[in-house]
Amino acid sequence: MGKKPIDRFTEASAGAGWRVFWWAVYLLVFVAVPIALHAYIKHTGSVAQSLKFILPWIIFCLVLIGRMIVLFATRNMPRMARKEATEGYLCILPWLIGFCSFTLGPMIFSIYIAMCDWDIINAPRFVGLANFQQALFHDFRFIQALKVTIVYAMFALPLGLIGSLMVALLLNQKVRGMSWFRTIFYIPAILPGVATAMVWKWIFNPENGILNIFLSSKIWPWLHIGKGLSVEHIALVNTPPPWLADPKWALPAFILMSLWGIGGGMIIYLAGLQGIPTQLYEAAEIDGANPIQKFRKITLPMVSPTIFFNLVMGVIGSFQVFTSSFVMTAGGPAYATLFYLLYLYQKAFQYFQMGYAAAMAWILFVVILICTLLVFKSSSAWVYYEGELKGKR
Amino acid sequence: MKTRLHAIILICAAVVSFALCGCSKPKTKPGMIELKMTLWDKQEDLEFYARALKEFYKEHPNIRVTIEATPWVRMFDKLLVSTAGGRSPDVSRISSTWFTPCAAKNLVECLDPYIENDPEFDISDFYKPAVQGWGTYNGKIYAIPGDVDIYAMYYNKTMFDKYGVPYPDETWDWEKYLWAAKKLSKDFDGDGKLEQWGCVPDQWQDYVWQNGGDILSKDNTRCILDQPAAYDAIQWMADLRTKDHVAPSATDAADIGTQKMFTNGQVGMFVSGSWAAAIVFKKEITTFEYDVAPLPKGKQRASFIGGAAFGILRGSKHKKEAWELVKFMTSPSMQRHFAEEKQIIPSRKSVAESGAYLLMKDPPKNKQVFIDTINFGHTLPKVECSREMNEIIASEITLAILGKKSAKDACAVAARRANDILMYNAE
Repeated sequence: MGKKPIDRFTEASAGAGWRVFWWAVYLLVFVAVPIALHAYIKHTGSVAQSLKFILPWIIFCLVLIGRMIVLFATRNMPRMARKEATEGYLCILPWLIGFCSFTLGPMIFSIYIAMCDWDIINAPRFVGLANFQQALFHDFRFIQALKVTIVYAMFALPLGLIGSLMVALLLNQKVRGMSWFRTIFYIPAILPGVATAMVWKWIFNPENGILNIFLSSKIWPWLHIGKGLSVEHIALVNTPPPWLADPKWALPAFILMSLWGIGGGMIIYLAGLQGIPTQLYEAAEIDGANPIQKFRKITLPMVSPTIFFNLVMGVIGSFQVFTSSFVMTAGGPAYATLFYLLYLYQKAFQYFQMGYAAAMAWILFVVILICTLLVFKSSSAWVYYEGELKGKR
Repeated sequence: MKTRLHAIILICAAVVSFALCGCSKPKTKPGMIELKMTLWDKQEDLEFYARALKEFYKEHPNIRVTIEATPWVRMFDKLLVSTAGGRSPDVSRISSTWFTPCAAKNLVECLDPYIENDPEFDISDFYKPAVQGWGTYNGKIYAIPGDVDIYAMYYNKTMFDKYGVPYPDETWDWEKYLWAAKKLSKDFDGDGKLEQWGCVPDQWQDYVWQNGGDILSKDNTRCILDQPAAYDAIQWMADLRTKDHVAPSATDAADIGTQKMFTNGQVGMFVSGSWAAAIVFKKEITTFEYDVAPLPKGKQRASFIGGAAFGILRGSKHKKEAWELVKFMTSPSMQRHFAEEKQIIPSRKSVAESGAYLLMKDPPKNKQVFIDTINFGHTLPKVECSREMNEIIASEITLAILGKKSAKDACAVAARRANDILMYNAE
């Protein structure tokens, strides 16, 4: 049986003649054609007209560069493996084009813009690190935004983690109708952000919101809370705080509101809890462990990878709170709820200082990266993976 | 296998050529030129413009104008975004609040060459403070002022008569103002809380200017609110609420707002703009007579002045025709229409002083006050970052006005923050 055409083609392309051919193609496309295009643009005087030549040239360039990259990446592979690898790259080509155009390209552009001064109708003006300088040293709103976001993260994260774990433990029992309870707890996490924010804005209303009506309702004097602790001692009940209208109470209001969304973490914890083998609990029972010991010695270590996951996702998410503050307070009474992303949005789309906003975005990237790296580094101390995966990052 | 390779190449070529087919040029209509104008009036006012534009079509039969109404708060953003997107309107009404960022960003065309080449257009007919305030940037004219908003003091004549206080006039200064306000502030039922107040001050910038201070230094590079001239004025104004109790505090006004309190007859003197008479007071004041007087002078007379202007946007493709439209919207006949139908003070001297505005029968009677005050008008600072800077200054000054901070501290903080913003302000 003779060699298949593709094999003959692949063998022949390894020969010296083919190498010369490809060198000639590269020279032509990357050197000769741009020179010719440049001369053509100068001659006709308009870039728009020569677009019909530039566009195919760019596509050809990209194809050739792609070929070079693939050949380099598969340089030590045998023939069949190389063929399969090439087909793989071709398969992901649509995604790759989308990724480069809509994610990677804009990211690179954003790094450039972060060092420019750009309102969208004039050309960007290069200013070096002035945006970063202004943000870090000469902008009280930036520092305030950082402060607000970090304080929020510091409180909302632990509360959320502990809350979701507690709820997951509760809902992990074999009680009839458990799936209904799980659904009820999970629904708030999937509701649209704007709708939730508007409902909570109404709940937090100082005069008519149900929270304050509940706090100042007549039932509290009826419950004798504690020995000698009368209702007058609880300032919260005496004069319910004005929540979103008061700089001191606006951020606590947001932290409270974040507890509504613990259903999201709860679902993941449930999955983790159900992965704990029951024989561990049975063995502990035989050894005479009480529930608290079972929790501390079995449940917590076995669920620590899930905690780790939720912590990392929580760090990334809690730094990026935007919708609620945009809808409810627009920066808050005296900048008390000026979250980082909200300030970024204001700078970009209200004051049209795109360069400054891009600089802020990259500073946020660095902050979240450092926090996440810290979490990862510390994970070997408290995250327990079963079996041979112990210590894997 | 060669056929498979060929098939792939053919498909790719087909896809690329289809994609390129999608880019086509829009077709142009022969003859008629379509202009787009953006304004911030309400939908029902648009028919007023449709009527007025009939005169324009008589003179320029080859031009048609479509009007787009955008809310005032979104106007500047819309102009920026539509210019960046390539679909900008041709002519727009430009507010004095954001005229300077507009001109600094080159959003509007410089109108000097159009004015020079047009012999029948007389720029000197327009009030100089208006042209300087929101028409000129860096010595060049970028927009033609269409109307003037000026602030003065509306007062409740019936209340003044009842308590025997003489009407305010141009001799009044801060002491007389405080004296009159004290006479008018009454606690009717003796519960320690006032039901009637003497005045509602408003607009802290007026008091700073009347005291000889200013917000920015003469060259617009430094904020000088931390000078005694500025913070003493703000402190005096804040004391009207907190110390002298002649003005309603924020909690008093929280329910219905200070304007409603004036139209209900609970406030003696109310500082507001010239637009308030036609838009608000005509409908709402039914129980008493009112008139208008100049703001009392501090060390000098000063008042807040603003307004709107018409300009040609940079992205317009028919700038010559747009200039004709701008001329029409600021023409004497158009300004007379505005003055008669909406009591808007025209920016042309010839129209304002001719009587079209002054002789209108609706109150307030003393409209000459507005015209006279134009010469003492001060505008907000003219820097590119004015929107942001005004916001951060206002957030601090509000604390001083509410009595939460002393004016000196608030001004020091506000000046520091404003200087931070000005430091990076583009030249």
